[in-house]
Amino acid sequence: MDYFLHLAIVVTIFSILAMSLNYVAGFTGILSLSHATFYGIGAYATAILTTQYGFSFVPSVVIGMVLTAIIAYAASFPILKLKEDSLVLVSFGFSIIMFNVMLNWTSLTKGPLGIKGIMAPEILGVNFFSKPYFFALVLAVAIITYFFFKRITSSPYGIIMKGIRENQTVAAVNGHNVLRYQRSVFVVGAVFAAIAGSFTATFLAFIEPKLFELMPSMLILIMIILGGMASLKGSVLGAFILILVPEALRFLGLPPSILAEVQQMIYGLVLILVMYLRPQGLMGEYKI
Amino acid sequence: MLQVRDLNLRIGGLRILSDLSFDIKDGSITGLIGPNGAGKSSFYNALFNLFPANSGSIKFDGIELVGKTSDQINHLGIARTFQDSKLLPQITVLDNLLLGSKYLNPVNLRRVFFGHKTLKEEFKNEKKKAMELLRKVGLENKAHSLAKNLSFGQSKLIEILKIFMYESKLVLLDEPFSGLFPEMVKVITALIRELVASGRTIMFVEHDMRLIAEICDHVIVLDAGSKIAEGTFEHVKSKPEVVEAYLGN
Ligand SMILES: Nc1ncnc2c1ncn2[C@@H]1O[C@H](COP(=O)(O)OP(=O)(O)OP(=O)(O)O)[C@@H](O)[C@H]1O
Ligand SMILES: [Mg+2]
Repeated sequence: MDYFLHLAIVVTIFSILAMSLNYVAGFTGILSLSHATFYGIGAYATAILTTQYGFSFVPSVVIGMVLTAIIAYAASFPILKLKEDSLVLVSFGFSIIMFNVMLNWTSLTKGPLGIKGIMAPEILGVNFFSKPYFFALVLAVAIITYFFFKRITSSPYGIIMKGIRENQTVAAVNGHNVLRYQRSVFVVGAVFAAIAGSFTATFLAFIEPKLFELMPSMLILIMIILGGMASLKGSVLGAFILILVPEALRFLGLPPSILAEVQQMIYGLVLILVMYLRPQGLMGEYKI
Repeated sequence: MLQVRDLNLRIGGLRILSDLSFDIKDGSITGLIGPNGAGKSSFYNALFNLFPANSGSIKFDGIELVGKTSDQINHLGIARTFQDSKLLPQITVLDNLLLGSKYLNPVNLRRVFFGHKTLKEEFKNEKKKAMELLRKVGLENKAHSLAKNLSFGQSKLIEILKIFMYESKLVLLDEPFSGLFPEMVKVITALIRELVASGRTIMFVEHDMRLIAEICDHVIVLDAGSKIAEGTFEHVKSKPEVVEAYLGN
């Protein structure tokens, strides 16, 4: 039971990540490879503030969100200045820099050793250490996330996002301030990644820079490509499949030493298969 | 309404528009003609700052357009179509129309979450308006299909309908008739007349001189980026330089 709850929590956290990346990449066409960086900033904010400065969970989350918003806003200038392939590469460059900040600013982040002993959330006197409670909490946040993005994307704002994704020139000629929309979307998406990060930090009780480098960014991207671009439900499905399928390998009796490698190969294989067989993803509305 | 003065546009050392000057009068239909590569589409692009002008001025109702961004230029009341259909293929026909709507522009998150009621109301009205436009041309059954499923003629038609979604004062059309069957040409001619009747000023690029003669009350002829003639169609077609550069015998 505990094991299943554990998986359910991981799936739920990744659903938040995938939905927020889909908001950025799937709806608006900003193919960012820096989502795990913002996820990491949220995680580190909560880890550092709660273990070193005596903050409780909720304020640490809020500070993580604000900090992420500021950093994402600043990063949006170089990233959104370019388009398509160049944008992808610049977002990747940004995430390399931030990864190295996490790795080398040891006085703050403890570098590669990571931060241990992060306490479970406590909100209004309720402790969420037990897995059912914790699951209920992240599930509630994921549901709020879903309806938040649903509201935006099914409003006229969503039409403009898709217009920008399809053709920035046409969107601009139709009177939409492309950069302003892109920047807003990028920052809002990043803030939700930060929330997922805060939960991850308290869930694992331990974080290290490795959790927030390129591979997790890729994993989230593959989730939304598999689930389908511009589909929030698809993102949840993508997270579900990509967490559970590799997990099933455990039962094949593979030695732990090669398990991680095989899991990563599955991600790669899924990506290739989707691009060839179903480029619009399982529930997506357009081809990438 | 529009005053173009000494407009120069170079791209990579190539002179695309040279010292271009002309006026467009309020309520007129102006044809912009000239051989392939004369710079007609480039003028539209320069006006919308998609190709930034190197020097000169374009004034719209007294407001300088050079230096403004495309969205600001749109907000002043200028709409355009593109030579090759720029309907967005992977969104629905209805959404393509709504993208051109004036009332959904701008929409920000504050309105999405806190001005929900008025936004919803406007959204509903704009959808209704878009559906009426589609009904008028018999395409209401296409509203929810992706734009990539439209035929060439249908997408040109939708591009014109999109103009109706915005209360623009000046409309720039880039070869709205090219490649169309005669019936569709009639439909689009009627729509252009309707745009004029609604008080919009029109400029359009076209290679079919019969249509130019039929529709325009003023014609500007470009060749190699320069204006070589201007006036009524009867006037410009009699000019030897126009005959030589474009009309032939
Ligand atoms: N993006 C661009 N980069 C460089 N040169 C360009 C670009 N777009 C157009 N040109 C050049 O500008 C000149 C004018 O092209 P433009 O498309 O404006 O002609 P046009 O009058 O619209 O012709 P057509 O009747 O064929 O549409 C051409 O020499 C063309 O090669
Ligand atoms: Mg042209």
